[in-house]
Amino acid sequence: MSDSSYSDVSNAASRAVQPQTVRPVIQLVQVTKIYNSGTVQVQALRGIDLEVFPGEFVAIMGASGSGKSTLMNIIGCLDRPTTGQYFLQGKEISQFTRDELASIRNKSIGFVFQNFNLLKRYTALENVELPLLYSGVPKRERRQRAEEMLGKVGLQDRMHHLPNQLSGGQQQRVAIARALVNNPKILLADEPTGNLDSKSSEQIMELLEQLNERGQTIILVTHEASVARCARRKVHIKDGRIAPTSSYLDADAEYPHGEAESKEDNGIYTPLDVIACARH
Amino acid sequence: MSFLAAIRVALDALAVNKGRSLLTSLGIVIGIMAVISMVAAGSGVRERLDERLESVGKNLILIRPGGGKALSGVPTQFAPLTSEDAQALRDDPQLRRWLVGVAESQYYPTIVSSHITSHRVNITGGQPIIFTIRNWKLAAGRFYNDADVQRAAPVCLIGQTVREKLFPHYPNPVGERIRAGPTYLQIIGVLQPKGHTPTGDDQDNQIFVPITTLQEKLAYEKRIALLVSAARDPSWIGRATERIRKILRERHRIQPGTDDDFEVTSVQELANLGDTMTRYLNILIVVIASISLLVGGIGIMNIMLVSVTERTREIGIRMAVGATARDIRNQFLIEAVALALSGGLVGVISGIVAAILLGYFLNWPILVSLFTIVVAFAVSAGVGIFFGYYPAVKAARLDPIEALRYE
Repeated sequence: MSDSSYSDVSNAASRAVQPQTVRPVIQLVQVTKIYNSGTVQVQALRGIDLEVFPGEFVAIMGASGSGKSTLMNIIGCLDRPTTGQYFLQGKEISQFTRDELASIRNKSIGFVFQNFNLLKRYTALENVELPLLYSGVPKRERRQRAEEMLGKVGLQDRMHHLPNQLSGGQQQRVAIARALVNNPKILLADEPTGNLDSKSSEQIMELLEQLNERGQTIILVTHEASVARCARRKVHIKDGRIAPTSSYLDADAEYPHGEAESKEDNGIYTPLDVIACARH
Repeated sequence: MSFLAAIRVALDALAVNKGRSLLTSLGIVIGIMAVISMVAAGSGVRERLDERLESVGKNLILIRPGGGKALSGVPTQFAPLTSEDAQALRDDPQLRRWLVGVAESQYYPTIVSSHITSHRVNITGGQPIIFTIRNWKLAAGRFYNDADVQRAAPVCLIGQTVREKLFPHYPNPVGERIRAGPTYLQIIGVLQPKGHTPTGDDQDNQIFVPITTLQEKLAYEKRIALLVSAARDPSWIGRATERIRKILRERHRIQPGTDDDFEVTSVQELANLGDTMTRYLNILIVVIASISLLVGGIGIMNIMLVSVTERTREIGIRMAVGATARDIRNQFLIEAVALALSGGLVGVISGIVAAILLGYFLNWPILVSLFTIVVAFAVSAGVGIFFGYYPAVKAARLDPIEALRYE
């Protein structure tokens, strides 16, 4: 009796520390990942604590080899942490089986990749239908939802085109439609503009921002500061840890345009730097 | 994913590589084709054999002079069979119960002429009971009887082939006369057709006369070629055969340990031989089919492994959007089964065509059974599952991260 009342108090106390009362969509607690490649052990993640709240637009940044890809794979449920806990919507999923993770990828996570990863033989519409196919949605509903989603990304007149009949920007929009068609909690975009020209990149980033404004939680993985600029929060990964240069929740006020970014960029500025983020 | 959706996905993938899919299933095609055509030809031949055995009479027992066959097939013991031998068999009370009757018969090959044309034919002399034993039916007229035998009447019955040759436009030449050498024979009956014997002789190319007529007016000699008998029931054939041997050995005074100087055979033995041959043929077919299906199956496994490698990226994408290991495994398994089944379908069709061609050119009857086709499809599907399983599991076990990174 006294125990439970005590814990209630402590929970209330810990919640009070949080700036928001909403529960995080994603909560990583001391997540590590160790790869065993033969005799060599590679520690890719060395204890990541991360929370992402509904409606956030988070950029995960880091150089190659920093562990950001590993982190993305774990967040995306493509991989499991070696130790630590991963709560997705309050559910601990770090020890889920492969099939359970597949179901989470299907329903709770939408992927957008650098190289679009569309199925070449399938039309835009069929590509967008794919996640619904694996959730067992009946054909008619599948079609209708996929059409609707393609309409939302502005491709209503390209639905029956094959990927190679579409421009890069259009292909990425198909990929975004595919990622969102099953109403996932999180949109996970891995270098979404990496293979696009500046104009298409700008359009894709605008689209992501619009989606975020409509409430879509987005996690963006990139090494380009100009792309990350659109995100409300930046998480820098370095040597498998979250670097102290990362910005924190409600970062709008203290948006760090300074030191952290320039370090990562190595002074190379692409035309992408001119991307205008609607918010700023 | 629903099963139907899975089938669609798999068929889509196959349609992309139509040529390759077809080549891959060639092994199955050939295997199934061989089985279908061989079984069709084999059972057609078997069917014809049965038909002919039936027409000869399955209960038939034949007693020939000459026995104790050496390896060369030439009889080592020989004594003619006589009418007295036949009479002894007829008089035996046990045989009387088991057998329809015993008829001695003698053959005389000759050229017979009608007023229209002439024709080479075998004249069979026998007892009236021969029609009962051999189960001949009349198309017209009557059989000869004991009185005809006693007075060696110049009468005959003709088979359908003889009628067609000698009287092409007479459906019923009863009453007409034909000539064999100097002897005129009056046609008193026409027999219904019986077809060919298992050895290919046309049973309808025969003229039947009383045995005395043959011996006294045509062949001018007594040399019984055959005693013909038939058991009333197939189960009595063995016992009757033994009894016949015992009686004839006694009559011919053959010492124990010496070979028979005659030979008792039954059509049933021939039928048994047919069974044995069919069995061996079936074993042969199964062996050939197994080998070609093994080759076909390995072909499918090979192409599926290639396909899994080629489509690693696709597998990664599917896994990323939520395909379970089971979804992926089923997709590739269904592809393999569809490959094997399409091979089976082509094999069944080409097997039937091959069987028909074979039947046409070799003049063989063809019998394609639904059962064979069903088995062929079931086996094809089985081959697809068996050989498609490993590649499918390999695809399902792929790590999504690795698969997505695959170039």
